[in-house]
Formats: sequence, C-alpha cells, structure tokens
Amino acid sequence: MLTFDEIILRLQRFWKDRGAVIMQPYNSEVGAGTFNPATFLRVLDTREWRTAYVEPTRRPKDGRYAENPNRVQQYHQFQVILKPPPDDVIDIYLQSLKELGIDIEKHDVRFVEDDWESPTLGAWGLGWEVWLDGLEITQFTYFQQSGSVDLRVPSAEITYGLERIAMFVQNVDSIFDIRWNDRYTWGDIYREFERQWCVYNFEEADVDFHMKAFDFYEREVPRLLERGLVFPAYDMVIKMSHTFNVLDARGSISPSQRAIYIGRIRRAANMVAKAYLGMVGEDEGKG
Amino acid sequence: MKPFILELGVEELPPFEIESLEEQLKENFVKVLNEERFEFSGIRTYSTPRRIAVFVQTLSDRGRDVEMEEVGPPLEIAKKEGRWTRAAEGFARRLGISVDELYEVRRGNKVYVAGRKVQKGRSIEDVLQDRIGSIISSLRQKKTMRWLPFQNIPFIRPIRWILALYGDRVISFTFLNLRSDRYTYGHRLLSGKLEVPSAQEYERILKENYVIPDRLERYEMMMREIEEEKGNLEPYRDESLYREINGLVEYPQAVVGQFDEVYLELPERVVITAMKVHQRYIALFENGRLASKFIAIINNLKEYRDNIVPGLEKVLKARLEDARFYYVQDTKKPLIEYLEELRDIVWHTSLGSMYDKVMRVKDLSLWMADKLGARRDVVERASLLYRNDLATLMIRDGKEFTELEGYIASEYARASGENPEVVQAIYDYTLMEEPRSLEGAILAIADRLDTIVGILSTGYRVKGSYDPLGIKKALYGIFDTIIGKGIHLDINAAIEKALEIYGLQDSIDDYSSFVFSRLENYLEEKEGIRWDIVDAVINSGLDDIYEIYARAKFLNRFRRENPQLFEEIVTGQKRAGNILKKADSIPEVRKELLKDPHEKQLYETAIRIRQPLEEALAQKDYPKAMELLLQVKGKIDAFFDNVFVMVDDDELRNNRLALLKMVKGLFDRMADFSRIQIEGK
Repeated sequence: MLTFDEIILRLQRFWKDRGAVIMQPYNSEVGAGTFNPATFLRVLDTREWRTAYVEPTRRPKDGRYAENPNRVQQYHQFQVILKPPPDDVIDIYLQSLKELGIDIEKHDVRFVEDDWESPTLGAWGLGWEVWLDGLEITQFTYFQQSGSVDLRVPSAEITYGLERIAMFVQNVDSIFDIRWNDRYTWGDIYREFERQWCVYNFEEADVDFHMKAFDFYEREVPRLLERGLVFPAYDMVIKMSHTFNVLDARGSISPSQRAIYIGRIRRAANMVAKAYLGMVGEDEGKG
Repeated sequence: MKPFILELGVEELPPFEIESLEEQLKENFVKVLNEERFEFSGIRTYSTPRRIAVFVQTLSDRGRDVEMEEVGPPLEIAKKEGRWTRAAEGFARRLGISVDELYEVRRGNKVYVAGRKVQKGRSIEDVLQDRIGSIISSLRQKKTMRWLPFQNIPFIRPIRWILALYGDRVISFTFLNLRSDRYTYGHRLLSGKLEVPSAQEYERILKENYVIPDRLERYEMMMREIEEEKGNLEPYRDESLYREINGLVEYPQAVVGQFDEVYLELPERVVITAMKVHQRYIALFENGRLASKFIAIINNLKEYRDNIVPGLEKVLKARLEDARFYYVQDTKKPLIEYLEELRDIVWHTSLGSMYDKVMRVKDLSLWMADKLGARRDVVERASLLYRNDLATLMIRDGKEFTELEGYIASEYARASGENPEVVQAIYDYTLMEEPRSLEGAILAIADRLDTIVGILSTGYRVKGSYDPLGIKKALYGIFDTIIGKGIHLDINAAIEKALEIYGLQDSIDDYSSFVFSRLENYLEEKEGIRWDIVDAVINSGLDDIYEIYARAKFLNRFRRENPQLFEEIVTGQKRAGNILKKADSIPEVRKELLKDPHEKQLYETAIRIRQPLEEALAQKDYPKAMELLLQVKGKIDAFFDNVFVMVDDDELRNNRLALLKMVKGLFDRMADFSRIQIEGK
C-alpha cells in the first residue's frame, strides 16, 4: 500500500522526469497552490516553465475541529504547471495516476467540465475536475487569465488533491486514517493541529487586528511596487487573501462586504501582475 | 461519388454544448458543400464528449464547374478603330480567355464588352484547407479558450486530432498545429489510437472500441442499461440530467449503489440533489418514496463494478453527511430566528437588504390577501419565513443545495413546527409546481411583483433577450400563477400598491406597459393566443390578467371557428372607428331624431342588449355576451348598407355619430375589435 509520503515522492519523481522544476511549498499561508509565486507570477509571461510542488493549503472556513472525516482547514495539494501545455497533457496526467498504482483501466475515470475561477486573484481558466469513481481527485485547468491579465501563452494547471488520492489508494474513510508512513497516520501528525487552528480561526483570531492588517497589507502593495519590489508586493497580496479568509471564518464579513473585500484583493493582484510583466519586459499585453 | 467523414477530436467537451456543436458543424459543413457546388446526399452526424463528426454517404470529389458572365470595359474603350485595345486584352486575360471570345452586351444606354469565365469547382482538399478555419471558428460556443501559444482561433476545448477520409483516401489539410489524417481514438481507458481504413468503416471501428458515436443511439443504450439495472424500483425522471450524463460518457454502463437509510430522514429533495447535481447519480424510488439506492452511469465496463461502486457510494456518503451537518446545525433554532440575519444579505445594491424586501413583500401580500379573501395570518407568517433559508448553512454554504432555495425554507418551517398552511404557502412560493394554496400564490406574486417594480424603478430595461436580472422570468412566474390558479387581481392596482410601499412617486405607466406588453408575448407563446386578440381585450380596459386571458382565449377560439363572421365584426368595428375618428364632440343619442328604419332597429337592439351584455360579462359568460353582440352586428351591417352617416344636416349627422359611438361602446366592453389585424388588409 502506498503511503502518503510515497505518493508525494512518486509524483515528484514523475514530474521531474518530465522536465518540471521541483519546488517547495511557499512559506506564507495560501488558500491554493495557485497562490504560490511559482504559479501566479510565472504563468504571466510567455516563457516556457514547468514546475511541480506540494502546497499545504489553508482554508480556515473548511475546518471542522477534526471531527469530520472529510473536511479540514489545512490539506495538501500537489500542483503542476506546464507552460505551454504539451499536446498529450491528459495522457501524461493519466500516466501519473498509474504511477500511483491506480489501475485506471478498471475504474471510472472522467473529465467533468468545471471552469475554475479565483475572483480574488482575477484568474480563470477552462477545464475539468477529474473523477475517479465519482471522487474528484484533481482539478485540471487551462489558464486563460491571471491577475486579470490575458495570458498569451496558456498554462495547464494540474492540482491533485493528495488526501483524496491517498484515501482512495489506501481505501480509508477518514483523512485522519491516512497512513503517512509506516509509523504515523495523518491524524497522528495533524489531529491536534487541526483542532487548535479551528479554535483560532473560528473563535480566537483577533478581528480588529486582522481588519487593520488587511488594510496595512493593501497599502503596502502600491508602496512596494513604486520601489520596484514586485515579489514583496505579491506577498502582501497573499497575506491580504489569507487575512480575509480568517475574517470570513470568524464570521466578521457580511455578504455585502464580502464582494468589496474580494474586489480589493483582485485589484492588488492586478497591480502586481502588471508590474511583474513590466519587470520581465512583457508589459505590452493588455491589462 | 464516395463516402466522406470529417471528425474533430477534442478533449472532453462540456456535456450541454455537444448537441449544439454537432448540429452547427453539420449546418456549416453543408453550407460550404453547397457554396462549393458539391453533389452530396445522406448527411449524418456523430458526437461524444471527445469528438464531433459529420459523415456524408455520397459526395462528389470536387465541386461543379460553372460558367459566369463578367462585364468588362465599355465598348468604346475596349475597341478602337475595329481593333481590340490593351484594356480589352487585359480583361480577357483576367478571365482566362482570348479576346475573340469577348462579345457585346447592353447595360442601360451603354454597350460594354463581356466574356464568359469558367469557375472551376474545387477539390475537397482545397475546400477544407481553405475553409476549415472558418467552419470551426463560426461554431457558436458559450466560452472559448486558447491552448497553444499565441493562438488566434479559440475553441471550447483543445482540438487534438482531425480525421478526414474520402472513401479510403486521406483528405490532407492543416489546421493550427494539426494535419488531418486517418487516425481516431477509441475509449480513453479501454482503447487507444485507431487507424480507420475508409470513411464507411469509421462508425464500426469506434463501436468495436467502446465508443458509441451516435448520440441518440448512445442515449438509448443508456436507457436500456437503466431499465436492466433498476429492478423493481423507479428511476428519477429528469430529461436534463439524462442528457447531461449522455454527454459525459462514450460507452454508458449502469451500476447500482446504495447508501445508509439514516439519510432518508433528510428532506427528500436534499438527498436527490446530493445525488444529482454533483455526482449525476439517478435516484431510485419505491412506491413513490425515495429508496436508499441509486443508479450511476459509468464510463467503463460494468464487469468492474466491484472496483467502482464502493467509491461511488463513499463519495455520496460524504455529500449526504455534509447535508446532514447543515440540516442538524440549521434546525437547532427555529426558522423565524433567521429573519434578523436577512438584514446582512444584500438583495440589490440600490434597493436594500433582503430584510427590506421581505418587509415590503409582507405588506404587499397582506394587501392582496384582503383583496382576494385569503387568510391574513397565514400570509403574514409565511412572508416572515419564506426567505429565511438564505441565512442558513444549507443555502449559504451548501454548494449544490443552493438550488433548493425556498424548498429548504418550507422544510425548515415544517421542522420548526409552523402550521401546515404556512409550510404549504412557503413551498408554493417557489413555483416548483403549481401552487396549491391561495396564500402561497399570493406570496409568489407579491415577491415577484416587488422584484419587477423595484428593478424597473432603477432604470433597468429588458432589451430583446437581454435580461440578466431575469425580470421577464419573474413576470412569467406571476402570469403562470394567476392563470394556473385562476386569480382575479387588478394588476394596475397591485403595481400602484407596490410603488407606494417602495415610497416611489412614479406614474404606473412604464410598469403597466411592461406587464401588458409581455402578457401579449406570454399568451402567444404559452397558450397560442394571437397577440392582436390579447391587445384588443387589454384595450377593453381590463386590469384583471386572468380575465384578459379567459376572454382572449374565448375570442381566439371564436375566431378560429368562425373566421368569416369574426372578420365581419372587425370590419364593421374598424369602419365605425374610422368614422368616429373624424368627429369631434358627439352628444347623446336622441331617440326622436332617428328616422331611417335601419337606424331605429340598430338603436333598439343596442338598448335591448345593453343590460344583458353587462350581466353576461360580469358573469364571465362570454358565449352569451358574444351572442348578444352578434344580434347588434346584423343591424350594424344593415345600417352601413342603408344609412348615410355624414349628411349635411348637423343635428341628424351628430345623432347618427352618437348612435355609432354607443354601439361601438358595446363591442368595446368585450374587446376593441378595431385593433385586430385582418390578413391582406
């Protein structure tokens, strides 16, 4: 039986062999692997780029105090970016599932339309969720826009849900029962972590501080961009997004404010995207 | 003449787009064949998630040649002193003929030289190479994408191969990064790349490789599969779901799965939705009640069901568990307590919160309840509950369950111990089926009328099919309710009330004309009643939509059954109308001035039927009313035949005009017949 760490290692090996730069998780809280600058910024320009990495993904609102077998506030994505996408990208992807010991010929694998969109990042693309016996194990997207900028060279983004895949190959019913390696389960490592973060996200996070922090990060974006500091400015966007997610989990954002907050993050992401294209000398594209 | 096949191989298409792409490909391709003058017969099309194809049973190998006349320079320029000029030589060269083949033609007053040019029919290779780009880019699609660097032709999903065969010969052309060839692909998991020797073998080879390329045949196979697997249970019937599934598989196979009966305690539609919306499973019923089993259509062989079904069941369980979590959390407090939370939900940025809307709808519903004799207590309570599900987890966070808005409010109202009439009224508001209670119908009408009036007041207008806020749909919901339930409501008074509740001073004209102009479309679309009849009835001064409908329906049938008679009525009324248009002030009829026996008879008949007509209309006895009017009609015709209205004598003329006005007034009580369109006039 494939352990969780073995799944990661095999995917890394598989994509390394296909020319991907194996990156590491980003060191700031992100809501998806897409936020990692290795995706968000790198997909903007027209140069070739392939990368693959694990991304621990924080979704404060999805936490259930470690009491729900399918929902946690932090899980792991395995993110692959292929720019431009090879013609046989779907076959390569299916090959990667075989690499994980999934006998796809004897299961129901389907590509179900799911057009992905991140209103905060101003990013969208067309693609599918990939079903394995009805379970969504991957989001597959051809990026068309990022940071509200049209992408002249599209990227394929393949986002594996590592826990979902592990539950499938290990045939367990709860995230917490996933074998991480021969000694530890997912629950051994993360159960208490989950519980405490849920307490923080839902009950203890300081609303006033987060509100102020959000405003602060937002002000930093234009200031840093003026000084040509594109990467630090982008980190401010990441922090805006996570701060917003915490406030949302805390129940401090009314539905009417929600759209306003999302718009503020999107505008900041657009500023950074344009500055990045300027930095790499590709700013003739439309914004 | 040989068979021909053109297949575009694509990555998995959105299921709802497949049919339209298939039809458009055929349309575009046939158009090209006609324009290029090919002979062909026996067009068929194929579509699966991974391909759209058009097959031609017999196709000529090139388009027909045609000769066309082209007119060149004027004769005096083409020929000087009996010799062809350079201008003429250039013209002939361009047509590919010699100057001796030119001849003279007259156009108007001038003589020109002309020549015949042969336009060669093109080969299918040349045509496809030249026109494949426009065939593909003129397919209308909801969303398109780019998958190649700096690509200029977007498409709905990446195109990965093109197969084009004429008999056994490859028709070779290029498109984007592809060159057409004789290869296709079978089922993604059960087959691979396939060589197709000739066009007529295309379908057979795909079928042998687990692809049913014919969409309808695949649908039938799916239905047979369902039939075989369902046992003694009844599958959930939902044409749209079935068609979607048919667009998700190339080789449909049905398997049965089950779930824990504990989830049957959830509201039935929640369970059905958990299966349907995301998983595309088909719910099963036993004696009309939901069973704890489902059918899934898989895209692999059912001999692998033991591998596949446990996965399908596990995913469903997680979704049902989510639903149960929402349900348990949401029902911890009674539905009424969510009312305050509606203050935080924006309904429309310039028209306030959902709470504001609910309060307006409450007032409007209560007003209607009084008018229509409904129970005030039920209407009031239901109006304070019917939108509260917006604040619950099931609707706020519940992903696929959001489509159950309204239904969830009714289920939670039931769970909160609200009385059954209130629960029914909330359920009826959703219009998921025809309202059973008057109170629910009132809520349905009031909610939608509030929406329409509010949104129109912001300056929003529906233009053609452009109606992103869906107020036309809302209005049609009102019409459905009024007509389905037979509700007699003065719609202008209701609009006035809605405006008053908003605190708006607007005149009702714009609102009213929106409602009535759409009513004409609605009755034509849904009831097949001609719009001019509806228009005529509306102009009798009715404000009651149900009565407009009933009367227009009657007149529409009357017209169909008595076309001649109907036309005569209209002609008479138009004639009366035209004469009256010329007159300015018309006094009352003075009996002593009636001279001619025909005008006397007309007057007497009109006086005699006036009272009975009012009574018949009040009782909505339209056949009776019509019968009375027909008595007058005979006299009008005689009147027009024998009496001259526009006599010089002022007194006499005015009296005859007054008589006509009185008579037209009687018909106008039924409908303004002068507005009816008569064919050919």
